[in-house]
Amino acid sequence: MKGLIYTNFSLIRKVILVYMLIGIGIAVVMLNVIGSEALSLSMVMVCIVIITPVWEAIKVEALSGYNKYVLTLPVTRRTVIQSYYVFFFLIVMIGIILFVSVLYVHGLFSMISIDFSLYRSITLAILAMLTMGGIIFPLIFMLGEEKSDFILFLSLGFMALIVNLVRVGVEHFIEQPPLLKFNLDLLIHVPFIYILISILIFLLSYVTSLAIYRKKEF
Amino acid sequence: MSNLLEIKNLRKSYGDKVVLQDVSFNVPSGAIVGFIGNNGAGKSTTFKAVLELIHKESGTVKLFGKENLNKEVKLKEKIGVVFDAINLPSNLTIKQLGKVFVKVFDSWDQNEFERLVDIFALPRNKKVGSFSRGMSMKISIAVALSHNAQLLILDEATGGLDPSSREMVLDELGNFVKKDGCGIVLSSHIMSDIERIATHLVIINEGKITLNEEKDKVFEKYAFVDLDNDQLTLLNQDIIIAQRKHGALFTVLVSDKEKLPSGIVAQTITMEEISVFLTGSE
Repeated sequence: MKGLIYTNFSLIRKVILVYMLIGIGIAVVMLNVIGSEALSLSMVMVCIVIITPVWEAIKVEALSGYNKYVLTLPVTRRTVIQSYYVFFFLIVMIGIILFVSVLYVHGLFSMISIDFSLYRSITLAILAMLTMGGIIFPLIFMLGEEKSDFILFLSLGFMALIVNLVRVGVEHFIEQPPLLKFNLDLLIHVPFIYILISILIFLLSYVTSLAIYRKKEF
Repeated sequence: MSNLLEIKNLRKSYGDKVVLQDVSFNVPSGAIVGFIGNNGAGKSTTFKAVLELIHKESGTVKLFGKENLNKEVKLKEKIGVVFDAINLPSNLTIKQLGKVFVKVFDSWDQNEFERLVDIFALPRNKKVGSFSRGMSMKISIAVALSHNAQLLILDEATGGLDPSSREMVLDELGNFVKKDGCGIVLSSHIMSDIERIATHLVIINEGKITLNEEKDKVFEKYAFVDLDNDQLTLLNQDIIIAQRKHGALFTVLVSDKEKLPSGIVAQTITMEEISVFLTGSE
């Protein structure tokens, strides 16, 4: 798997640097214009930009026929799928670390303070990105890597819908009688719920992708 | 001689179209099997089924005596594959490819890779996506030869090569197969390549194997004969491989010219002729 992840990084090494710079630019602009009220949205925007090259790498692999060749290498189909998911997760983490770094530097020169609400924003961003990846991967393996642009566009809408449903749903449920006794805090406990839901969506997506990929013919 | 690859009664269809029908042949250790067939005859599909890139309907494929390649991952270390297009990550340079494959193959031999890149005169810092077809084939062959594989599966690997490059590649393949326990299955439309290096011939036509024989035996014993209807009835049916009608005459490929009835003149065969004859219709 190490080799496959390295291949993906090598394929988009330069592009990812460019997209990281764009991400930093977006983060700075959004923090200055909107401020801390849209922390989650800003973080999601940065992550969306930074993960864009991932789909580019998958498309390049498909167009060059490497997606077929890779199965002749000493790896299983499971390992190929795992490598895509791990690679995607690493890029998401890079995006979040980058945004938090920008936020920290920005905080040194502005009134924005880093508090508990940042954790909620980070977990919401993770939920958004893992949901997006969770939607995109199975669709790519089902419809074909060449259609990744269309799938990306489609999944943006679904991701926004699911994330908002989860956010509203979680906030609603923690105030319902059966959960009230746990006294769940919106800033402390809810982020963990987001993380759990993110992991669940991502794992479900992985299992679906694997099932599709195992049947795929090249 | 043990078999590196054994294919038995392999069948595959897409919808109603049967693309492989009872395909059976072996690649013994020390052999170079020339796999010949027209476009769409089933060569690439056979290779894909062997490599489990497609799912076979029935039949068995054994690589190094084992089935189910996708579960026997370590076996893939021993198989070098070249498809009819580059199929390597197009954005990478040869230098980067070396770094990738050293992480992918436990048995990657960087020195051998460097040697092949040198003798094939390939540019190290150019993206492989910008390579010509000939260069693409050479880098794909270099990769296949650089991880101590024992079986090479080459699909039209000599296509697009200029004559001197072809010589170099054929020499390398010849040297590879001299190593203990190594073998090659090579599909090609270039009959001179097959004639030069193959030890066995397997011809496929419309998904069916029409010839599976050692090359020397083919040139030693096989022959074409032109016969009329009466002469055809005199012929031992066991030696008839294929026949074609030309007006009132039949051209028949026989597997043993010694068994021809007296008076029938056997014509010598060429690689090109036998290929055209067995890959044509009828």
